[in-house]
Amino acid sequence: MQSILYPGGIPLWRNVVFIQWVVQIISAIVIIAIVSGFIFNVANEIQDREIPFGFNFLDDAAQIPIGESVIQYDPSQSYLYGFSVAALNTIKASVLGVLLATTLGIIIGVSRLSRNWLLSRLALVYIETFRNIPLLIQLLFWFLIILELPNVREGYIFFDAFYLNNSGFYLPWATPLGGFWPWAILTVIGFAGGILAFNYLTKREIVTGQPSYPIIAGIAIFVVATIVGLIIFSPLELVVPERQEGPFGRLQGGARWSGSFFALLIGLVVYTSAFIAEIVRAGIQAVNRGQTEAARALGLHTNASLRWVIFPQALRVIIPPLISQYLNLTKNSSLAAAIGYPDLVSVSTTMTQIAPAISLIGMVMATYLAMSLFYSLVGNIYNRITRYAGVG
Amino acid sequence: MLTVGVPGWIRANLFASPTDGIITIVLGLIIAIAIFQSINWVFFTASWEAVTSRVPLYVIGRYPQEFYWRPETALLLISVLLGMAWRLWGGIARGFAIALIIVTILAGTLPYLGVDLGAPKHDSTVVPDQASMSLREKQRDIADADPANAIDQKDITDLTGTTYLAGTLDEEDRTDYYTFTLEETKKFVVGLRQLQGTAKLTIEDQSNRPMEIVVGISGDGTLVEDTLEPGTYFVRVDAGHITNDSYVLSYSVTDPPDLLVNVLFIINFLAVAIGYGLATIRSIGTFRNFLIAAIVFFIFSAILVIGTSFIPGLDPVPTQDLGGLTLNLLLAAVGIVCSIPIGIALALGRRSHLPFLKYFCVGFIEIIRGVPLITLLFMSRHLLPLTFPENVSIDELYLAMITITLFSSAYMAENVRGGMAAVATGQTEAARALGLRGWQTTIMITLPQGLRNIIPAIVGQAISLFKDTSLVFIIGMLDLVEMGRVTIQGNLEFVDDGHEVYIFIAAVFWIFTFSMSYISRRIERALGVGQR
Amino acid sequence: MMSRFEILGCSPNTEKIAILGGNYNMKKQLLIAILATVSVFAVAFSACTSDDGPTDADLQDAQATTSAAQSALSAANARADAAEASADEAMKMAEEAKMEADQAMMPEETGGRLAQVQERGHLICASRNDVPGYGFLDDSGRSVGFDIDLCRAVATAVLGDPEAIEVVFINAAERGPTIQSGEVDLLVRTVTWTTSRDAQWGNYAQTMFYDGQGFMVPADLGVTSAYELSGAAVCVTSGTTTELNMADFFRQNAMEYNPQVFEDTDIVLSSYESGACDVFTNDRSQLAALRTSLQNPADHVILPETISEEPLGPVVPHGDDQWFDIVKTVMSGLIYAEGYGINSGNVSAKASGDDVKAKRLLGTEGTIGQESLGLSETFMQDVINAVGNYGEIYDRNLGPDGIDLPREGGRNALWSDAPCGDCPKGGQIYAAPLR
Repeated sequence: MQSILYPGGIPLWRNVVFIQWVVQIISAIVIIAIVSGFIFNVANEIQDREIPFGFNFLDDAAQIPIGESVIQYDPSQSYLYGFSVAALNTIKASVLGVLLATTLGIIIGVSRLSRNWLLSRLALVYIETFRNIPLLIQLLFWFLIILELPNVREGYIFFDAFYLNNSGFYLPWATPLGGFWPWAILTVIGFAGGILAFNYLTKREIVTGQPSYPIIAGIAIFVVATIVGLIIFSPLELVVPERQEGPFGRLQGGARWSGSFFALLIGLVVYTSAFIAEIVRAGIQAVNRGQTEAARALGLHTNASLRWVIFPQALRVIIPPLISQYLNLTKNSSLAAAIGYPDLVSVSTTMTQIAPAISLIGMVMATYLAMSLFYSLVGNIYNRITRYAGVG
Repeated sequence: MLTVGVPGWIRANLFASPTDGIITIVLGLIIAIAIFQSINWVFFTASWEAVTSRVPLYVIGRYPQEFYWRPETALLLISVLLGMAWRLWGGIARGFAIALIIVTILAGTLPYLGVDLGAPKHDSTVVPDQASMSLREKQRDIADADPANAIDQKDITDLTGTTYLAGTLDEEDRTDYYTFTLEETKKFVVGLRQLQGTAKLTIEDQSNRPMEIVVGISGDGTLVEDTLEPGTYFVRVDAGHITNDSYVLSYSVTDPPDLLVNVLFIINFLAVAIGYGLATIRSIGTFRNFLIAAIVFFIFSAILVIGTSFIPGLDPVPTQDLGGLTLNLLLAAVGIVCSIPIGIALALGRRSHLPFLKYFCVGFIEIIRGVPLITLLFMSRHLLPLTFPENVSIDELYLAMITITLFSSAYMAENVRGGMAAVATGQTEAARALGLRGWQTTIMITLPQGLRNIIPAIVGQAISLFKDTSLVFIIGMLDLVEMGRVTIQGNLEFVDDGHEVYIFIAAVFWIFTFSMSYISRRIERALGVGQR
Repeated sequence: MMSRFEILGCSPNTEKIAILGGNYNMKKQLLIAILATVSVFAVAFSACTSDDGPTDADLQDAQATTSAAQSALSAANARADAAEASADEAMKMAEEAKMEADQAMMPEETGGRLAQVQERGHLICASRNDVPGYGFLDDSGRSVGFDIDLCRAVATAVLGDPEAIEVVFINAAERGPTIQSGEVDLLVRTVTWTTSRDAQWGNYAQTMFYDGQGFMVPADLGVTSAYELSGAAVCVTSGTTTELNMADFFRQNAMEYNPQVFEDTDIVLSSYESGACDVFTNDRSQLAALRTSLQNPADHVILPETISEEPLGPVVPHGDDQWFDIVKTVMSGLIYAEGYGINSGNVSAKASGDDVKAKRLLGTEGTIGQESLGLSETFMQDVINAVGNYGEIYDRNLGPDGIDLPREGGRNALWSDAPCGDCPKGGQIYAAPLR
């Protein structure tokens, strides 16, 4: 008894290891009880009330139309394929949105700190307007603005190949032919070769002190491989949009970026860039004032000091909240259904007509989660890299 | 070269260099055009009827009118807080207090000035909307009963809401009578429309004593309105010089302005004054007391607005009737307040060394943060009820509150974690040196300092949560945005007024979120966050 | 007890958690695994006890009632012995007491939805608030419309009060889950009756409105038939069968098209009006109503083809026949009331008049099954008084006082030889005769 309660002379209830274990076991029991109770109850109820649930439907023909897609889609294809098409639409909007929102956010954030009173005030008005209005309303607003463009039969045409109207922007696009895959492989090899050459030449430049032009050489290898592939395999065919016969005069061929997509993109970019601008401003202001003064003393211009001195330092403060904004942007794209962009939520809602709703929404959640975790991963990797750089 | 005064300021801030000058001129032109266009649209082009005819719906949803005193009392409590804030900090709080006083006085007096911002019109004692089809039948019944009375005198008592009756006048029959009986005091509005020519409209009481006369109406003539005591009345339409023989009588009975409702609005400034006065007393006017008062008043307000079956006289309001801006504010407030303790617990769990606890918290936070709120709400609507026995149904309002709180607490946990990470390591080392244990250091040193760091972040989260509450439409609640959508889509006459409604809603949201972000920036400056 | 072990035996979760515990690669983790399994058992056990059969409290109740029944029985016997006269009465009393005890033994089966609704005091209807004519909010925020009136009619029948309703607003995707879970008493949300929905969702009581999907196009495009729509961009609102019907139609006829799916009708309308899409497809009733709100209605034509059948009507949850029958009878009552010329203005006159059929409907002579349904004899009087007959409901919401859809000559007129005099006839509105 004595030895069990007082192992090593310390009373058991004051033994840190023991306490930690007790706490852990109790928390484990509580958590498992709650989670498993929840799962059991729900599973039972789903069975009892005959609520449709399951994933057998995924192989059936989806039968639902999707307005625009990155990859070819036909309603006779399976639910799973339709779901992937919708997921790609979401990814397309969110990736482009992230890129543009970052660019615009940096511009606005820097303008916010401009010496020009009007510019900095305008940046402030921009930030305070767009981040304080619910995104849904902004999306509707942009969509209604795009509808003000002339319709497809009266729209603008540039070079007989680019069409701009309220149905979207139509442009020539390349479609893959038989030789696509050999060409793609050659291009990848060229890219890898370019990187290798770049690394080798950079090292040589540092070691020998001779200018070896690593960037030029790397790009040249990549470009040559690509062009040679294009000539040998003729992998792509450029398709120019053409007007269809009949009363509607719609355009066919090439790529179409629909009005809904533009409205979504503009809405997401404008909304998110307002947040990013504030992050950028805070990041720049967090850099020690002495750094700016030192850069000025070294004779750097305002722009140069911003580019080479301030921004790299600010970036470490900026990145974590920026990643969180990317995450928000991706999730916010789920509002696209309101303006007719066939994103994940919009398409799944249509699918719930026939397929079990709970399964589908579960899949939607899993997909968003995967995208979010991807962004988190990128953020963590960046954090690690910068930390090492900071130490070294 | 001028360097002082207005020209100097302009030169230094707008035209410092040629590039600056070009930027200024281009931007200035764009701004001028935008402002001109906006003013032109707001005041001349836009039609605001979809907004103005339903103001109470946008503010508080379909809240039962007899309970209006409850949210108003809650508003009084908040006004006391605002008064305290005015005394304690002045500045922005003063601005809010004054704005609130002006708005409430206007809201309280407008009904007496004849401005009707869509006061609820339905009368719960009679089945409403027995529209003209049944009127025709009723006429036929009246005709069966008493042929002499049939055409000249129509009983319109049972018609409620705004009703339009078609009538005719000609050379032989130059007078139409309508009769109605009121059992309570009501506001009565009657008017003639689509009349070419002139006619006389009279409301008479039982002794045929004219009470209100309007002579010489033509076209869509002015309305006669009066607050009438219980009794039987006649509406008399006399043909004057008319060129067509048909007219439309519009008629509506509404409850007269509720004295209590308006008095509660008008005395709002007293509440502000009381708060200001209280804060003047040294022993009361402290930040701590303000926080305590804020929490207590918040709980009281929430109970007042939602109602509870535990307190007699505070019947719960049906969830479907709670809506509008009040719902957005309520959900956001509950979400933020309740998520702070959960968020702290999750953040501490995430910092814990116990792997099970830690990974549970990490999993919870990352999963909640990784999915859109809209899908969480959908799942909670369909899966949460399944965890309860079949006969127990959980109210949508609490469903929304639980979901939003959980959603918010995941973000709150990350805020807290960030705030605690920002506490200087010297602090924890000093605590250790003083002999504090690990948990004592966390509770007494790291957490309080961390929380101080994240006050601006909490306000920021409150802003985004406030905007996110508009997603509760997914579980069938009528918040401000959904009320707008429903108004536009459910009524053919408003289906073109989307722009106006959305801009109105955007403006309302903007006022609240901008105020919050302004406060956030003030706090940030006061705390000196980011300057150390 | 057997069933509980079976359930646990089937469940894979216990194993999974044990494996999870082993991952930490520590000896003491075994303890966690054991405890976890025990806790899962405990939770499962409690879940099973609450789900399967009567709980202890229920059993106690039943016992109490049974003992009450026994005492009533003995009391009745005693009285029968003593008086030797009212033996029959005593037997009756004993039987009643026995029946009560039986009822207490199985609370789930006999306490059907009717009892639930009456105990709750209001009827819960799932409907909508965003479609003119069918379900929307008036200026005071009150739910009104054709669907809502049907809900009010049922509320009046079972509770006597048209205002005793709670309208739950749901979106199209939620219609299935909502009625399946039985959380609402009635689903009246422009639900098209289809066989798979009837099988999966709930029971369709009665078709109260015949709609069909059509197309609207700008007149200047010169399109006169839906078969000429190849190559068009088509606007549609999401979440309804409309989308699927459209897909079927275009696929069937091998026509190319570009679908544009929106949530809100006003956005669809804006897209259509601006020419971003060429065609607007929806239920014909909605198209007709929305056309009037366009800037120049004459510039738009509704194509003659109807590409789908859309019979709309109220749906009740599966598993309660009495409730299903109540809703069907109320709907029949509304339709026949119009057929017999009974309206809100003349109910009392008809109830005491000399038309036998009308009197049977109104419960003053004969029966239409009120007793088996558990409704009052004169429930239809209350219903007609409160909401009017089918024609009145139609006119108020969809007819001249609503969105102005003509009924004369359409499918929503009464059947051809309906007994009424001046009501619209020649349509398909028909219901089970009231006897």
